[in-house]
Order: sequence, then C-alpha cells, then structure tokens
Amino acid sequence: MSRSKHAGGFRNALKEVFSYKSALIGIAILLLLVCLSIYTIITIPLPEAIHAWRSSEIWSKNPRNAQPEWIEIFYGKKLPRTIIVSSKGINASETPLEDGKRAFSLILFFNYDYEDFPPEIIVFFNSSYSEKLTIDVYWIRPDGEEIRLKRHTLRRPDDKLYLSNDLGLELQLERLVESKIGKANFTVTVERGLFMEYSKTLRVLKGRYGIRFESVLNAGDTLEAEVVVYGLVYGLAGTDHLRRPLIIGLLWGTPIAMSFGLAASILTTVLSLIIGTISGWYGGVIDSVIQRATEINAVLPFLPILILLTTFYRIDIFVILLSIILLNIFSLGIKSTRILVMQIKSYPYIEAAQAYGASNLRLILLYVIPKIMPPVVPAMISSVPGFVFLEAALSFLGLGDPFLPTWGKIINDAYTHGALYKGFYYWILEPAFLLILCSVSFALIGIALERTVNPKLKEL
Amino acid sequence: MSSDVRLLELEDLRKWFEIRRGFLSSKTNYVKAVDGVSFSLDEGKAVSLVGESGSGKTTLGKTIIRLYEPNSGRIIFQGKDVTHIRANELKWYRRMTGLVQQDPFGAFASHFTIFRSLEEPLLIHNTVKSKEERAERIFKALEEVRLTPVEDFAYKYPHMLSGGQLQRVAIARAIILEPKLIVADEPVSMLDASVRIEILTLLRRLQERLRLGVIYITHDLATTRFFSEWALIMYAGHVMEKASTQEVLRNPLHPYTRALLTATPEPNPENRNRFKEVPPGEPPALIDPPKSCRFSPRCPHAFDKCFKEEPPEFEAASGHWVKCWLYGRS
Amino acid sequence: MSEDKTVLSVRDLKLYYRTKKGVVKALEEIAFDLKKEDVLAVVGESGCGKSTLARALVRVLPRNIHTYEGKVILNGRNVMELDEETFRREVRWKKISIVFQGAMNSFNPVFRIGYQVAEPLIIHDNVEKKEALNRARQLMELMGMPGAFAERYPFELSGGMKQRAAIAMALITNPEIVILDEPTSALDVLTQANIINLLKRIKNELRLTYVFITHDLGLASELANKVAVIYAGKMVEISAADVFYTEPKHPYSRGLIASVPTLSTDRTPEFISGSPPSLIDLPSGCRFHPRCRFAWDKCRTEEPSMFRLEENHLVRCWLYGGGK
Repeated sequence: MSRSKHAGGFRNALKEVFSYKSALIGIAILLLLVCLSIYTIITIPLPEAIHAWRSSEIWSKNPRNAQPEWIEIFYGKKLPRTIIVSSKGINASETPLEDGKRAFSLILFFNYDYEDFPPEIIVFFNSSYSEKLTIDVYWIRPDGEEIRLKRHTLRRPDDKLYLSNDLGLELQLERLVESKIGKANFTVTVERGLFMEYSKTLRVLKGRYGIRFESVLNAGDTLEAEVVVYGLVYGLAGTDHLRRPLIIGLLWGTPIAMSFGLAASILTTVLSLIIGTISGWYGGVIDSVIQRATEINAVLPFLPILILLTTFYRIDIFVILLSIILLNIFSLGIKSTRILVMQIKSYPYIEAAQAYGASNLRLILLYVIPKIMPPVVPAMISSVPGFVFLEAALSFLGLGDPFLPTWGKIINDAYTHGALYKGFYYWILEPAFLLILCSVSFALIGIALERTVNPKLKEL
Repeated sequence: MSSDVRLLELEDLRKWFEIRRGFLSSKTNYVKAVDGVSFSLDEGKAVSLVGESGSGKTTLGKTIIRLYEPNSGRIIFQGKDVTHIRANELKWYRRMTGLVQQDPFGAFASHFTIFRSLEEPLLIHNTVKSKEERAERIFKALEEVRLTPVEDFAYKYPHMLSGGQLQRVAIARAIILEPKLIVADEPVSMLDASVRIEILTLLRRLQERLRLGVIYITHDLATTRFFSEWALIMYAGHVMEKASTQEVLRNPLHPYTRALLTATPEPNPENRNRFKEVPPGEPPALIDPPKSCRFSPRCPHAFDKCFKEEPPEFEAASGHWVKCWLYGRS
Repeated sequence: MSEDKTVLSVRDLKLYYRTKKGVVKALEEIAFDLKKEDVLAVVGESGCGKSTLARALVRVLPRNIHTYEGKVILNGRNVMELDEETFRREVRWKKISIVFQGAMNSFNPVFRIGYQVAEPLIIHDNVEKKEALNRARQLMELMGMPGAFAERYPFELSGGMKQRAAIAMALITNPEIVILDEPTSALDVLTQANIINLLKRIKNELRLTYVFITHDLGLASELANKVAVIYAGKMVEISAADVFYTEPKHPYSRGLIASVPTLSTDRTPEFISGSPPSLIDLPSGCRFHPRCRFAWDKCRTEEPSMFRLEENHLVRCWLYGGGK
C-alpha cells in the first residue's frame, strides 16, 4: 500500500520547495547567475568575446597581471590605476628651422596621486617620417626637477619606448637618487626613480608629472605620442598574463558553465532514464544487452577515454559534451531505474491499464515515467555541479575547448603561469568562487527537491 | 432470464508459466496454474470461481480477459475465438471486458485524479470524441456506483478515498466502456466486513441492470450464494466441482468442497466447543503436481484409484459436475 | 470451565499518537477483565484501534506517543507503573506474549526456524542454547509440526507452518496470556481452520488466556467466550459470546453481525453504510451516530458512557441508558 503523496502534484511540490530557506538562497543565486549570463550574452556577443579573448594586440594598454580594484580594501591604500596621456588634442610647439625642418616639443602632463609605484611605463609613438627620427625624452617631476631620460630613435612609425626595462636608465636614476639621498637601502627601479620622493624612506611623490618629447622633424613628418603609466589594479576582476581583463572570461564562463552543466545533466538523466525504463519494461534480450552495456561501461576508465578522444578529435565544447553524455548514459543509475520500473510494472494499476487496452508506449510515458520522476529530478539538479566541475577539470587538464573563455581555462592559465607562487590569488579565486557559487545554487535546490520527494529526509 | 445467449465458453483451457532453472539448463519447468478448465457462461449471469491461494483462480480470470495468453485450449467470446487474437481484435476484446482487482489502493495511478483515471479507457478507445461527452460518461459511471455528488469525488486523488470508495471507482472504470464481461478478482477481500456486502450488492445490481457477465473470483464460499448463479470450485489448477451455486452449497459432492464448507467460519457461539473436521496438509506445488487426482494426498475418502489416475469430470446430477472417482460410474 | 481468578484487568487505557496532521486518539476508555482461560475477541473494522490495543498491552509502541495512560493490572500488579526495563524483563513475553499480524512473514530469512522460536528463551531466561532449542523443538511438535522443521529456514516452510512456528515462539516462555493479532488473516480457509483447531487445543492443554484480535466475527466465535467491539478507538459493547451472537445490542454490533454472509441461513447479508471517522477529527456526541439508523438529537450532542445491561454486558449507546 504505497500511498505516495501526489496530492496537488507538481504545484504542491513547488510550494514545498519554496518553503525551504536553503532552496530560496539557491534559487536567488541561480537567478543572479542567469541574469549575469543574459547580460553577458547581450552585451558581449560570443564572436566578439572569443576574438577579444584570443588576441593579445588589443589589450596592450592594459596592465599585466593587475589585481582587481577592490583589492585596495585589503591594502588600505590607493593603488595606481592605469594612466594614459595622449598627445591627441594637445598642441605641440613647433618652431620652424632652416630647410623646412621644425623643432618639435611636446609636454604631456598627468596627475599621480596613488600610494604605490606603477609596474610599467611605456610610450607608444605614432609617426610618419622620411628620415630617421630621434626623440629626446625628459621627465618633469612635481617638484620642478627635470630629468633627461634618454634619446630614442624610432625603429618603426609605431615604435614603443619601454622605459621600465631600460637598464641604462635604471643605472642613471640610481645615481641620481644616490646624489640626492645617499645610498638607498632599496633597489631603485626605473619607476621608483621617477616617482619617488627624495627621502630615505621609499614613498611616492604625489603631484603633477610631465613628460617632454623633443625632436627635429623634417618637412611632412608628424609625431604623436601616448604615455601609458600602467596601474597595479584593473577593473572588477583584474587582468591576466596577457593583459586580458578577466571579467570577460568570468562573465562568459557563466553561461557556458551553466548551459554545459545543465545540458549534460539533463541529457544524461533523460537518456539513461529512457534506457533504464526500456530495460526494465521489456526485459528479455533487450534487458540483457543494456545490462551488459552498463556493466562494461562501469569498468571503462572515464578520464583516459576522454583524453584519448580529445587527442584524436578536434576538441570543442560539443565534442566534450557528447563524449561525456555517451560515457554517462550507461551509468549504474540505469540499474536503479530498471529495478524501479520492474517494481512499478507489477503494480495493480499497470495491470488494470493493460486490461482496458493501454499500449506499451502509453503505459511507459503516462504511467511509469511520472512515477519514477520524483527522485530523478532532484538527482538531475544535484548532478549539475558535477558536470560543471568536470568541464572545469577538463579545461584545467588542457582538454577543454581552446577557443571559449571558461572558468576552467582561467584556472588553467593561472596555474600554468604560477599565479599561486607569484601571489596572484585573485586569478584563481575568482573563477573558483563562481564555480562554487554555481554548484552551491544547484546543490541547494537539489537538496530541497530531494526532501520534498523523500519524506524520510524531511524529518532530518 | 429467458434468452440464454452464450457469452463465454472455455474449452480445456491451460495456462502454464515457464520457469527457467538456470542459465545453462535447457530443461524448462512449468507452473501449471490452470490445467484444463472448461465451462460456459451466459450473458448477464455471474459465476463464482472459488478456491484457495494457488488454486489458479486468479490466473484463470486473467487468462479469460487475455491478460495472459493461454498455452492451449480455446476461449470463445460471443461465438468468436479470442484465444490468440492480437492488435485491433485484442483491443476490441479489451473494450468488451473489464477487470476489478483485489487491491483498491494499488489499482489507481497515484498521479491521476479519479476523473483522469476514468478518462483513460475512453481516451484509449476513442469511443467518445468530445471532452464534454467524456465528462458526461464519467459522471454517469460515478453515479452508477453511487459515488455522489460526483463532483466531490471526480477531482480527488486516489489516496483521499477510502478502500470501499476506491473499489467503487474501480467498478466504474470497469464498466465505463460498456463491456459485456467483467472479471472481479477478490473485489472485497481487502475491505472491511461492513462494506464488503455493499460493494458486492452494487456489483450484483449493475450486473443485472447492464446484463453483464461476471466472473467473481473469491476464496469465500459464503458470499457466492448471493452474488452468483454458478459456482466453480478450483483446487491446484483443476476445477473440482461445478454446478449452480445453490446446488454446490446445498449438496456439495467433492470432498474438497465439503472441507471448504466445513472450514468456512460462521458466527455461532457454539463453535468454540467443537473442533472442525478439516483435512490437514497443504495444496501441492504446481511445478510438479500429482499425476492423479490433485486432492488425493489430503482426501479422507481417497482409495487406490485416486492415487493412480486423474478423474474426469463426472456429471453426478443434472448440471452438477464433479472431478472425483467417488462419482465414477464404474 | 474458567476459574474465578482475574488474570488481566484493564482500566481506562488511553493511547494517543502525535502526527503531523494532529493528535490521533487511537484508544480511549478501554476497560475489561479477563479470567483464567478466558478468550476475549476484540472485533472491529480496520483502523478502529484493535491492533493498537494489542500493542498497547505488550507496550510495543511507535515513538510518536502523545499519551499512554490507564491501568493494566496483571495478577493484581499494575504493570503500567513499571519502567521499560522491568517491563521487558518481567512482563513482556514472560507473562504476556503476542503473535503479531503477519508474524509468519517476519522471520529472519538467514536463521533456522528452531533458533528463532527459541530466541525469547535465550534472551529472556538465559537458558542455554541447546536446552532452548530442545524446548523449541518440543513445542513445535506440539504445534503439529514435524520436529525436523526446526532445522529448516523460513523460506522452506509454507505459510501455515510458519504461522505455527510464530505461535510456538509466543508460547516458549510459558506466558499466561497470549495476544493473537489476526493470527490467520493471510492464510487459506482450510489452513485457517487447522490453526484455529490448534489454538483451541493448546489453550485447553496449557490453560492459556487469549486476547484474540480479528475483524472476522465468524472466526471470533471459534475461540471467544467474551466479545468486545471497538469502534473509532472506544469499546462500544462487551459481553459474553453467547449473548453477543444471539442478542447484540449496540447498533454497530448488530450491523456487523448482519453483514456476515452465512452458509447455514438464507438471510441476505446487510451492510452499514458510510465509513468510520478519522481518529484525528472525531464526530461530536456518539462516535457512531453519523452511521447509525437509530440516532436522535441526544446521540449527536452527548457521548454515551458504558451502560450495564447485565452483570457482564456493557453497551455504549443511549438506547440502553441515561433515560430517554
């Protein structure tokens, strides 16, 4: 006499689910993630996202491995943002010389009131010239002191001047600092030499800085310059080793992870449900074949096969999804479905339905499946995190889709570029946090659903 | 009861279940649940199949409505051989027959309302096209089984009804396709004594009014007399005695029938002062039943012949058949 | 035939369960006396509380008890006052044992029947295993089972044989009172008759007192010299069997008896329409009034107490007392 409580059916079950606080939290997180996904898909179309993620060119003016801006809370001081000063819109003073030549002079000013030194300074030039163009670069500090940095000869019209890794410059600045304060008890890097206050303690001199370019242009020559003083922090999520803003990867990771997890869990659950039902309902040879298949599948090593597959085939997310489904539908879950179906098959109401002429298909779809659904749905929801983690794990192992920005890939990048021992914790923690958030939301909903269908758990 | 139109005829019906002993064993054994049963039933009449558990009465009932396919013998329904029909013909036969099961609590899909449960047969056979007509039929059927006001019951789920109410719904479901034959398999044995008679009375009235043939399967001899014209006493897959119910109860011939009658408890305060004379032992296993009379190991009157040869059915009196050597004309 | 010694006396036994939907008033105002060699049949519909009564007497109860009070006086000693440990050691199985409904299906499939029959003896009396097994074997032979069956496993026995073993198990500690909770409900008619014969015989031989729980009035008359009818958790009638079967008084008792189809008379059986109330939400007044043909205003508002018609005949009905 199994009088299961199907009273109001689906609606009641839902009502009950909503009565669990954990479920509400889960649903709230899930809704948040869904909104995030929708926002992402609308604002950053996938082709654009993939393009942006794959090219390193467009991010050249971003800092490398910058932490997210909110990290300041932990440091308790204002960390430098990236400052870009362009000569566009600023009139350079040009004095005509003989032969149509012009004496060129350009000063770019910017305010620096951060409490730490920038990691990198690069000057991007944009010029057209007929003969070699030589530029003198001067540094103007807030205290009025002017330092001649170096003479740079352009190698290409869009040449860059890397101030940071200029050893000669570093030595020159070291001497300068020594002349001011004596032997410093810290190493003087280019950035420090340029931005420090001349005192025994290392401190940033806040104020208005300038950088002056002087050159002699031939007739028809043009010269534009852009100074990028890179920051230590960038945006909401920071950047990676290729200067890419992590936010793109994290945002796009959300819909990919969720749809991957959902697709994998729904398809595997539904397909194994169907296979298990067929096995239990028809019995005989069909049953034997399916049972042997699940037993063989159970002893097949999942990961090696997946690695093998991904070495032979071009890996993309659909191939991975398909192989995960194929390797999971003959899971041992089929055995429990089969036993449930065999049990239900012997219930009087099935016999009654046979007596009034219900076909096998009707019996399976309307009489058997609805009965086995209640435990299946929570299990399906609860299995989503597993697949989300699986995808991340595969990406982490380098078996993921190489084009898509996913959480696993970000972690993989972070790991291979030594994020942990370099102290770039945000790089790993951000995708990990989202992974956990996503999993927790599904798990909470799954647990609540499980309780509604399993009265024994309700008392816990 | 003038026009005696033959509804159902069984000829030497056998239903054996295969059991495989093992994976490699080529030998298959059979459980001979129904082993050579013949009888006939007229339209609008009821027959009781009486027997203990394992007598084959339920298997016989289910074979008659072709939930099982017989191994041999014939089932003739309205003059048509339905023994091995398939597909559309079988679907027609399903419409012409109905089933009421023993366990009312398990007889309904718990995720269907009563309305939906009753709608299923109509949807499957598509006899009634429109939704309104179907609702009309369903409400009419619920009225027939006195579940009124029908709206109160139609939209409930099975677990909200009592056993007696569910059994009425089961009867409504069995008659909703307007069948000619109903198999009622121990329809009241799981219900309380106070409602048993109510359900049986209801079934009897429907049978008379709708001219239904009813096969009433029971282990309780006492109920047969009020609810059936004919009685078949079954033991270990064989029919031991068949006659009109009155005749079987007043003039039981087979030793087994007599034992059953003695064993059936009746409310009488004198009972406690006497012991019942009933044969000891248990029915034989149907995998390997005695080749002779199947009751012989327990029979108090058994003699040599009973242990050697299976008796045929003797007509001991007009219309009264007994499968027992005591009544052999030799 | 029975001595004048009262062995079991129950007074105001009350048992409530706590459930999600509310408090289930499973038993109220249960009172009866049993003399040596009495058989009290407790009859009623399913869910009326008769099985609960059986369990309450041996204190085998579920956890969700709300109220469990009253007096159960066994040979002059109120066993309700005993703590669980004392009750287990001195009363349950030692003085009162029980054959549970479906007992034949509750044998452990991995132990031999003989051992399981002997188990109460080994646990309760610390009897040596060999001796206990011997005693079990003797008792099983008394139950009409071949002694060799003690060596068999439960699945090797038929339903009737397992039921005999269950009875043997209830008798192994020499109790005075045996509670039989539907001891034959899953058995065939012939097997049932054999078991009833057996129960009669051992009652006479061992001078036992039975509480016989059944829904079958016919079966009850096979053993009982007293009949108690329970309806919705309360006793509505208790009397000597001879009186009960010839002249039932309570309308419910009358209905029950009239609903039994008989072979020996031509009387068409009748039925009681309606169904018993929920024990959570009981009707006002007499609990039977919604189904009663004779109910009048008083029955709807006031609950009748047990009225004494004769020395041993009590009826809970306004037709028989309280003034009309």
